[in-house]
Amino acid sequence: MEVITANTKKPLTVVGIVVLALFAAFPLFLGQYWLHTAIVGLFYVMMASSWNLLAGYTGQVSFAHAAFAGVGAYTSGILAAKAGLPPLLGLPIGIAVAAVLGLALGSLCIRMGGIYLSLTTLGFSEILRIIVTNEYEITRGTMGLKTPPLFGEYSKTVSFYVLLAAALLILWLIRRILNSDLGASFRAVQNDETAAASLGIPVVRVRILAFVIAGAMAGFAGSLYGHYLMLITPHILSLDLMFLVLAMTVIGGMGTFIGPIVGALFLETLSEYIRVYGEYHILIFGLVALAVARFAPQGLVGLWRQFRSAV
Amino acid sequence: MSLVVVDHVSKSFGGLQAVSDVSFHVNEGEILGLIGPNGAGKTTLFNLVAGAITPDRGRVRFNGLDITGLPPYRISRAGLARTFQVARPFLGMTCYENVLVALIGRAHPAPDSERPELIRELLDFVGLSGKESFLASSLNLIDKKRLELARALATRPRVALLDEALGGLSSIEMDQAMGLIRSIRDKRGVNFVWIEHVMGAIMTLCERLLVLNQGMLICEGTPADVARDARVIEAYLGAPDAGD
Amino acid sequence: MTDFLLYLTNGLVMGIIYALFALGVALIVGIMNVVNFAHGELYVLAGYFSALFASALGMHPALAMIMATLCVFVVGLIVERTLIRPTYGNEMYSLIVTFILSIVLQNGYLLIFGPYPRKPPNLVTGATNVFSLFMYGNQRLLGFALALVMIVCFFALIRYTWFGRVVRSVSIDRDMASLMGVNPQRVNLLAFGLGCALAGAAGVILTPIFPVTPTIGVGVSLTAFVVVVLGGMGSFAGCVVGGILLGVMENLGAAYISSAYKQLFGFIILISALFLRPAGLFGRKRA
Repeated sequence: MEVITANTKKPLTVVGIVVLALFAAFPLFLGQYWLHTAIVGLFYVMMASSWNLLAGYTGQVSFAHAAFAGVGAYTSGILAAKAGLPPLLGLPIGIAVAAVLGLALGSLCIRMGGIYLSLTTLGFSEILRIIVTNEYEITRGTMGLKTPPLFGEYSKTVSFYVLLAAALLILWLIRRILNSDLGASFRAVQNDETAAASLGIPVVRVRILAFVIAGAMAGFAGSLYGHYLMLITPHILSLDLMFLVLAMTVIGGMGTFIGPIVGALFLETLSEYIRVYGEYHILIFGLVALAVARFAPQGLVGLWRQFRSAV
Repeated sequence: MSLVVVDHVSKSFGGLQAVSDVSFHVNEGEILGLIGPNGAGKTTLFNLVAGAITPDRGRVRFNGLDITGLPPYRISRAGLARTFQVARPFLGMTCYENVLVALIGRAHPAPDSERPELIRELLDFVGLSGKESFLASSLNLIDKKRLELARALATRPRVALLDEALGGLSSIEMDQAMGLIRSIRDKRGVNFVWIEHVMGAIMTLCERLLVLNQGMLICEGTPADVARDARVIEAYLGAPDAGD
Repeated sequence: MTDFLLYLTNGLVMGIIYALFALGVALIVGIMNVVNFAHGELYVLAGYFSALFASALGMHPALAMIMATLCVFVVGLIVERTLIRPTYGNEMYSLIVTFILSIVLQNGYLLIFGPYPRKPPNLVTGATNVFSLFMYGNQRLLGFALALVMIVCFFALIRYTWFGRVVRSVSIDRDMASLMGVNPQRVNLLAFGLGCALAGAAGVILTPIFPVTPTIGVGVSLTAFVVVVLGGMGSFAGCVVGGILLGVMENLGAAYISSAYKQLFGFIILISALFLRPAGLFGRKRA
């Protein structure tokens, strides 16, 4: 868990601003291909960070996070493709639908913990995937649903800045939540539900709220991603994508703010380098994630902290 | 006036009668001892009062309010705190954060500006000065119990249920803990219901004792009365053929 | 009517094999409180092994099946020792680890065996006229019989051996096993290996009928979870009933309602059952 003290905060802020400025300048010197990688990376930053808020901070290991992204993507995608609704209006509807489903799933899971919650979310996720794959008339199944870009003409540079702004918004929100009373309640619930309740923390409300917030964030990310790709396929709500989100979080460091960001950007970049040698990147991610989970459960961030305190 | 009134409360788990028809009350300014052999239903009784389990029959009233069946967080907010048989601080959080959670859990959370002072004061009071930034998992047993007490106090309780506050402590630590409990009562006006196996301690600190055996309240009175009671002696020593 | 009986028979045959691999999940959950997400991948591994032993090494198909199951048992032991043991007491972490493992295995299979279906030669050929109503493949009938034998063996193991006594006492009270003077690490190791072997046994039985590909394990795992939840929350007998029930429902549903939504039934059952019995598969209270 993070303990922020005044003297470590300043240099970190400076580093953060430098990294951000560098990142924001990407379109100036990156080609179209690497710009695409950066955009995908930003999508995963949002996904991994919001999943971490739910799994890493409240201890509810949900396997439905990719499904929420799918809900956001398909909601605004279908509204745009079938009803001609501008994606900018479809986006908030997508977020709202994902949040409502988050409320439903969170409530469904409220009496469960650990492995049973995970199985339920897994079942929920698969139900959605099966429906989306089979309702060809509405979703175009595995053929994929064509959607317009978020606004105006398609442009990678614009998309990059939209995703960057979105990711910063999500991270800012998560940071705010973690430093608020709600964040402290999240961690108390993860540590010990019974003890938290005995101190006046409304555990049920806190747990459901985490599902709603994380679901809405995933819906937001998924909707933006769908309008960037302009083609939505059931892959977005598959367990494969769920695995990437989970692996990024675990490798970066679950239950830390920085971990999922580092994990997402690191793995997305890595996968582009590995891709040159063939489609082995999932296997390599898996092996890395397995090794990290086994030998460094706190992830890269944990290793870095150990290194720092040893020096 | 009685702060807590437990009125004919019963609870069974799958045919096993864990608590049967228990009634008692807690008076203002008192440390009420709750004793009985292992498996007598003491912790179950606590869980019934604190809302962790709902009784099959009977009512629990606190401060004039019927709290039967309320969720635990509502009962905590009403002013009834508890500690656990095995201390349960939030192990992955610092001492500071542990107490902070209790300030947040109040019906009206303490304002941001007052929190650091309140937390420091509580940690000082229980004897954890200077350990604000220690992770709870790094504390030893007595400090964990201290932290749990500080956390419970941060909810501003009228009554606190203590489940084996002395279990596992050395005799020096026990004296410290007993002193702490007494000063909480005297300085902060908190009343206690206290489950304890350490007889010496409970005889010293409690004015009144309840004895539970096989889910039933078998005796109630001053420590001296209870020590002489034949039913209590039998409950502890067992029937002649059940020796171990 | 004949059609209906055919679907029913199909459901029964599939159901008993579902029950076989679901028993593995139930055993591991019951003893260790671990849900092994890679269960289906071990089923697939057994399928590959049996194909490899029979075709590449020229073993007799029956011997290949036995060897493959034993190999998966050993793999299970290794997985438990290296990956599961460090996660004891943290069910969340064991979940994450086995989920990652399942993805690693799927992609490993893809790399080694390619995306094409693999199968060993059939043990038997031809078909039998069942109740003089319809012809039914002998390989399937044999599979049914083998699965039934394996299940009977498993129940005998639980009923009459030292290991079975431990399993039964642990499913009543986790602490009891340590009171009985049993080394819990060894019990966990054995339970995990055996659970994986049950997946392996189902794998070698079904692979001649449904050749394995790298990713079919996902469906196997999910089916197993549904069966375990459906089957009265973890009694081994319930597992058998649940397996048959799901097999029959899926086959009748696919025939008469919609084959595309065949799997959906299972997941809806899974969620509703967990919602009604949130204490979990073994009905035990959470600590």
